[in-house]
Amino acid sequence: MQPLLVPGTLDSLSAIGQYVNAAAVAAGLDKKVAYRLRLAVDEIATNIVIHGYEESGLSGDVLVLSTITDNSLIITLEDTSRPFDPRSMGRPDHIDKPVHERPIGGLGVYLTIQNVDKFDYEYVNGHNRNIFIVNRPKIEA
Amino acid sequence: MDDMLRIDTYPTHIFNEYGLRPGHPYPFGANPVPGGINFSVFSRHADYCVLVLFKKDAPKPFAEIPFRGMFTKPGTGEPFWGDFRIGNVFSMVVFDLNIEEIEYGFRMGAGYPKVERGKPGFQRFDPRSILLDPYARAIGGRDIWGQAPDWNNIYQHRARIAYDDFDWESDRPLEIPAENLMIYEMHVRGFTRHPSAGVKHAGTFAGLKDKIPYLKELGVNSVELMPIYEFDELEGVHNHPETGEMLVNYWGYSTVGFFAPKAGYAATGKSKDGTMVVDELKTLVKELHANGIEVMLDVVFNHTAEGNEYGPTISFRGIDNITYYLLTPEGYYFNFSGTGNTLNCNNPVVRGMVLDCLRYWAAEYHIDGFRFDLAAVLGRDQNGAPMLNPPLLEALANDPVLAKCKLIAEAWDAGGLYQVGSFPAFGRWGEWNGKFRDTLRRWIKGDSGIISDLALRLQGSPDLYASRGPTASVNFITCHDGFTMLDLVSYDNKHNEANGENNNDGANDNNSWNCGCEGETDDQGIQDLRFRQIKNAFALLTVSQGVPMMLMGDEMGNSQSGNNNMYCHDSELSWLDWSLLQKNQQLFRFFKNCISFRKAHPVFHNMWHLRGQDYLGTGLPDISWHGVKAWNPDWSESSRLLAFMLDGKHAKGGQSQDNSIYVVTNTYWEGLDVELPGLPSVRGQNWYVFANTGVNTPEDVCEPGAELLLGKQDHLFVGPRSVVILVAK
Amino acid sequence: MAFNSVLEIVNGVAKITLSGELDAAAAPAFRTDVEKAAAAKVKAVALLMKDLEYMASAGLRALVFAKQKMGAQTEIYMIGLQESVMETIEMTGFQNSVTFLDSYDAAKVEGA
Repeated sequence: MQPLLVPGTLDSLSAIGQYVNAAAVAAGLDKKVAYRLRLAVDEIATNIVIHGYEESGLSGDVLVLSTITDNSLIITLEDTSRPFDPRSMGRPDHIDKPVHERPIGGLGVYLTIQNVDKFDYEYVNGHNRNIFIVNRPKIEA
Repeated sequence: MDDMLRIDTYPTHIFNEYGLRPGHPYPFGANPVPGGINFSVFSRHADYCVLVLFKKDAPKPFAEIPFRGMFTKPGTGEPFWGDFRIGNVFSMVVFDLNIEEIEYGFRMGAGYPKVERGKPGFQRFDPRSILLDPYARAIGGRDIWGQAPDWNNIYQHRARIAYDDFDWESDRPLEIPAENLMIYEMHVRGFTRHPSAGVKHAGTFAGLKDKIPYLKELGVNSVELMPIYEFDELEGVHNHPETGEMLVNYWGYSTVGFFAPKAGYAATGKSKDGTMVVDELKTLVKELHANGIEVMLDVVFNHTAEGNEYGPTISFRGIDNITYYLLTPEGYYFNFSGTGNTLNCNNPVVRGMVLDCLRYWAAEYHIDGFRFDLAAVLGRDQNGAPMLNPPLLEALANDPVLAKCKLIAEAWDAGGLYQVGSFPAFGRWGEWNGKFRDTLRRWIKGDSGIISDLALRLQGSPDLYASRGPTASVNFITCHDGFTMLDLVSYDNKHNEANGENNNDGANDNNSWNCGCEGETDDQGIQDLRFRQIKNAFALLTVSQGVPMMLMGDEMGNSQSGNNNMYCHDSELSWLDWSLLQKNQQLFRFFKNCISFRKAHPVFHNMWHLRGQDYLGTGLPDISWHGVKAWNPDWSESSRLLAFMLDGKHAKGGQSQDNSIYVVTNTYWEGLDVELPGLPSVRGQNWYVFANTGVNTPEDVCEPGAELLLGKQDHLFVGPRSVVILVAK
Repeated sequence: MAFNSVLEIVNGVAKITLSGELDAAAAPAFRTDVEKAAAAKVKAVALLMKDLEYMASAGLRALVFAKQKMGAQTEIYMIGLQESVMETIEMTGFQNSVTFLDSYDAAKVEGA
C-alpha cells in the first residue's frame, strides 16, 4: 500500500477511511476486523484534526502508512500537531450512564483501544506517531 | 575483482515490494547507483516527503514510497521504523527500478497553515501536489512543442532520469578568448522552424545542427541560445482578442527546471526518453565545437515559472517556498523580475543550486559560457536589497569548474536596479552593455550631442569598465528584446498590436528612425537608406573594442513588422524566413565580410583599454581621433562626424603586429570631404578601402585582404550617413 | 460513500434517513437535522439506518446532544442497523438509551 499524505482537515477523514479499508483488504482481514480498524484509525485522526490542529490554531498534515507483515497489519498515523498520547485518556467512566446524563465526547479513544489488537503511541522529533496493529488471519498450511 | 559486489547494493528496508536503503544526500536529484536509484531532495521546512513513481505519461502513480515510515526487514519481515533523512535532505535508494520507464516526483507536507490560491503565505505545502525535483535532468509533460497536455493530469512537469554516458570523444569547451568572440544571439526554434529553413527536423536542436555550415560561413564563433532550460510554452497560453492567434511563451524566459533541456526543442522529444533529449543537445554542442563555435546559454535564475500567489505549484514553492523565493513581510512574492516572483538567489541553499546547475551544464554539456537574464537580481539580499559583495556572484566568479566559462550579466532588473558599469564583477563578469546599444542607435539615427559618448563606446567603454578592460563590454545594437536591425531603421515606433495588449507592452525608448516612412515601402531611396543604416550600425559594431553580439537574422534583413516584444508569437512573425537570405544577399555579404575583417585584425581585440598615447614609440598613438581635418576631431554638440585610427603596431599592447585601421562615421545628411591622417613614411604603406557604406553593392565592402587602393591618399569623400573603413598596407 | 441525511416530520415523529459514512466531517449535517427535530418538539426520533455503512463516535455525539436537547422522555429509535454500526453502539453503552427496530413500525413509533 502506498503511503497517504493528506492535509490535517476533516475533509481528509474519508480518504483516510478508504485508505484503511484498502489496506485491510490487502492484508486479508475479516470484514468485521476491518471495520473496527477503520473506526479506530478514524477516531484518532479525528482527534488529531480537531484537537491537535484546529483547536490549537495549528495547521499540518497527516501521514498514513500501512505495513503488512506475515502476522499483522500495521497502520501508522503521523502528525505534527500538539503532543497527545491517547492512552492517557483511559476508559470513560460515564459509559454506563444513560445517554442524556453523559458529557458529550470522550468515546473516540475508547473505541480505538477496544478495536485493535495493539495500540501504541510515541512522540518523536516533533511528530505524534499513533500505531495500530491488528493480527492477520493465520493461513492454513 | 569482477565478482566483488559493493555491500550497499543490497536493500536494508522493504516497503511493499520495494527494496530500499538510506540514501546519499549528495548529489541532489535522482542518480543511478549500483542496483538502484539514489533519490535526494532538500527541504528545510517539510515534515514529510514521499517519493511518487509513475510509468511514463501515466495519469496515476504506480508506487509511493515514504522517506520515513514503518518498513520491514528483508528476510525476517520484522517491522521497524526507518527515517531516510540527514539534516534537511531526504535521501533514499530504491532498488530495481527501470530508469527508462519511470517518472518521479515528490509529495511534501508540513505543519503550516494551508494557503489559498491568490493569498500571501510563507509556506505553500500541499501534500496533494506532486512536485518536480528541482534537480531533474530531464522533464517530460511537454514533449512536443505546443502540443496540449492532459490538463487534468495531476503531474504536469514530470521528472525523468537521464544517463550521463554521452561519448564526447575529444571534445572540450573551446575556451576562445573573450576578445576574439563574435556572438550570435539566437532562438533555437525560430532559427529553423520556418519551412524555408529546409531542415529535416524543423525548430529543434537537430535542425540547428544542420545549419552549422551557414553559421560557419557567416563567421560567428559563439552562439548564445535563448533559454533552453525546460519551460512551458503553454504557460499563460491565450488567444489574441481580435486576431484569434494563439499566443504562447515563445521566448521561454520562465524556467520550469534548471537542469533539464527543453524537451520540445529536441526532435527526439517525442521519444519521451530523457537520455535521448539530453544526447541530442550534447550532439549539437559537440558539432558546433567541431566547427569552432562556442555555445553560450541564456540562463534565467531571477525567477521561475511558478509565478505569483496565483501561479501554479510546480516544484519550488511546494518544496520550500520561503527558501526559494523572496517574500515580502506579508508573504507576497517580491517581483523584481517583472514576471511574478523572484528567486532567493543569495540564500545559501539556492545559491548552491545555481552553482550545481551551472557546473552541471559546464561539465556535462561542455557549455562555454552563460548570459544571466536580469542578473542584478542575483545581487539582491534575502530582503531584496542590493548587496555590495553578493556571495552568489563571487562564488560564480571563483568557481573551479566554471573557471573558463564566460559569465555575462544583463546588469539590470525589473525592480529598478541598473548596474551597467557597476555590476559586482569580481574581475570575471562581462555585461550586456546597454549604453553601447543606446548610444550607437542614437548616433546612427543622427542625434547630436553624443559624440564624446560615442568615442567611449567605440573604445570598449573605459568609463564603465576601467579596471575590467574592454572584454567586460558585450557590445550590441540589437538583441531578441527589441527591434530587429531592419525594424530599427524602418519604424519610429513599436507596433505590438499583435501581442494583444493594445500596444502597451514593450519598450518605448527604441532610439529608432524609420528613414522617412513608417514600415514597409516601395520607395527605393528609403530602402537604400535603410540598408545603408544597417551597414553603418554593423560596421561600427565590428570595429568597436569589446565583444560584439549580433541578433539572429539581422544579417539577412529579418523584420518583425515593427514588433519589439516578440515573446508570445510562435508564427511566421517570429520564425526566421530563409528566403530573405537570397533576397538580401548584399546584406549577408556585408555582415560576413565585416565579421571576417574583425577576425583578421588583432587591433580590434584588445584586452586592455586603449590609452590614446604612443607608449611603444611607433610614431602613432594606439588610438587617435580625427574629424573633417586629420588630428582635429570635432567634439562639439552639433558634430556628426568622427574618425579614429587604430595603430597596428599597438595591437594588443604591442603583442601582435597588425595593419593600422582608419574608421570614419558620418551621420550628417550630406557628404563630407575628410582629410586623412598620414601614415609614418618609414612604414611605406598606403590606405586601402575595406568598406564604404556610401557606395552601392558590391563596392560597399571587400573580401578582407582584397581591399582596394584608395585613389587619393590624403583625402576621402564620405557620403551622407556613411561609414568608411580603411586599412593601411 | 458520501454521507446523506434526510429529515421528514410525520405525525410528530422526526424521521431521519441516514446513508453512507458518518464520520466527524459528516456529523454536522446530521446534527443539523437533529437540531431541527428538537426545535419541532417531536415526541420521537426515528433513525432509518439501513444504508448507513459506517458511524464514528462523532455520530454518537450528535445523538447524545439530541437526547440532551430533547429530554429523556423523547424516544430514539434506531431502525435497520448494520451489524458493525450496532456493535459500536453496544460498545459505548448506547443500547440502553435507544430502542432498536428491524423496520419502521408506525404504530409503535408514532403511537408512543
